[in-house]
Amino acid sequence: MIEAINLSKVYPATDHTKEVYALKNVSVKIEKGEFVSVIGLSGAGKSTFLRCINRMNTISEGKMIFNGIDITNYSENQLRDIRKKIGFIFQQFNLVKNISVLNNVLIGRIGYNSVWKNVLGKFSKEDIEKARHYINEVGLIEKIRVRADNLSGGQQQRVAIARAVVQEPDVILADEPMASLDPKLSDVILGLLKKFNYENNITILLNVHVIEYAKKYSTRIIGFNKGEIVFDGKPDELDHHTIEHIYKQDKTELENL
Amino acid sequence: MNSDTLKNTGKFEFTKKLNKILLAIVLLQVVFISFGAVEFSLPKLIEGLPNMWKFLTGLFPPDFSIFPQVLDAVVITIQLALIGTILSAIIAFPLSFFAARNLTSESSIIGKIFRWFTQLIFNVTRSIDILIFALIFVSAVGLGPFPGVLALAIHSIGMLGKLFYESIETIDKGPVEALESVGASKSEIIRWAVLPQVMPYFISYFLFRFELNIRAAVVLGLVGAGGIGFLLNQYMMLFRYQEVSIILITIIGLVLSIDFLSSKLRKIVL
Repeated sequence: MIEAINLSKVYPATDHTKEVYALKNVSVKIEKGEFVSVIGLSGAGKSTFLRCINRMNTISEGKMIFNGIDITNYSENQLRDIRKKIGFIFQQFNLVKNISVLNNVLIGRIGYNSVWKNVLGKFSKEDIEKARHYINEVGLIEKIRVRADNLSGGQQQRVAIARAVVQEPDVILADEPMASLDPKLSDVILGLLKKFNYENNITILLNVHVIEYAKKYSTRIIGFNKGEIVFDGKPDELDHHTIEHIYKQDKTELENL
Repeated sequence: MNSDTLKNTGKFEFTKKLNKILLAIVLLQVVFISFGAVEFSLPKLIEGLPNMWKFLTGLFPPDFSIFPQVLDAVVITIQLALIGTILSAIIAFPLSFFAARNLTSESSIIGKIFRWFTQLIFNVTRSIDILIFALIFVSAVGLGPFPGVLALAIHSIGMLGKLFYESIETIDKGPVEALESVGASKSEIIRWAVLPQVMPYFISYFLFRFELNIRAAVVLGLVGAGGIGFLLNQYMMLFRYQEVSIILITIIGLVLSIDFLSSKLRKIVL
């Protein structure tokens, strides 16, 4: 359902930086229902890869195919229909802080409604019912009327998960969803993603830097190093040697950090 | 560091000090000349003291009999400020979204022209004082509250517009990204990611502007725009200082109570 063909992302040279290849010739195919963890150092191209899938990034070379459609050069208008089928979970949750949990989750339904209804804030009964359902699923039904900024970080990320699932997406892209949370909460967040992966058959692409979590939850692991895929296989194929290869760093690079 | 560079830094320090001294001399000169230009004179001030005393003693006792008339004038002044502020907010609100850098895409030329044009409107209206606008509008539509409202509204467009678009530019862009990722269009992004973030600031700036416009509306009365300033001017010209005193007391009460109310309200919204 997601297919990248010779995908490259180049950040052009500026006055004080050289041209940077964030992604280099990436070809990969992801099938419906997979739980894929993407691992690698920060700056290896994991986030860029995720953001090329829902085209929050432009693509420099190659193609991105989503559900059989080439979306490489889709305009903002055309992307609307694609993006409503792709959930995105951010490291910083990105909730609208001073509106309620319910309204935050209803934002996930925006792609399905007409612009004027959305602008007036008129959501249908079915949309509200769906939002309630998933708020309940992530265990926050008693907080439904609470303003988002009154929630803890872990609760906010669960709202963000509900916002993504209420889109009834084909895939959820999760960009380091536990990185700004207490490590204890990682299992809660990943458990929810696993649950929706299993029960709703939603494909999950998870950027993560803790290998144990990648191994524990995913059906497939992709390793990035300097914008290239250096590993693609099952969690149990990931041995000590490959991990070293994925996290290999040049000495000069380390000095530049 | 070798001795050569040391010598150079010493030289550099010296020229820096010299520059500072020269700058101080020039500034003192400017201040001195300006004092002369405004005909500042202590003897004149002392000569005027008896007149001032006459005015101050004339204020007492305040004549409360005109209080109903004063209250009517106060209502007009408040209405003047209210309508002026509302009109300016209605215009500044939509314009500020075109002026904000983070909402107009860098690549679109039309967006750039809109931004440049709205910022120009804000800058021009902001830099011309209310009194000057009032003089222009009085000569256009005659005396009365109407030119006053226009003057308040036009000047406040620039003031509010700048505050509005600057608060749009400081929003957290995380929610904007989240809205983009669910497939929202520009108007939906503004409705759900921008407005909830900026509305408390907009309301607070509106109240603050209303507070300032109350004071401006008092002064506007002096140039014939009606309200309590107009009344004050009339009684001043008739040398009826006992009435003037009750007007002054009312103005102080009005400004203080509006300040108090607006700061309370602003604390609630922020």
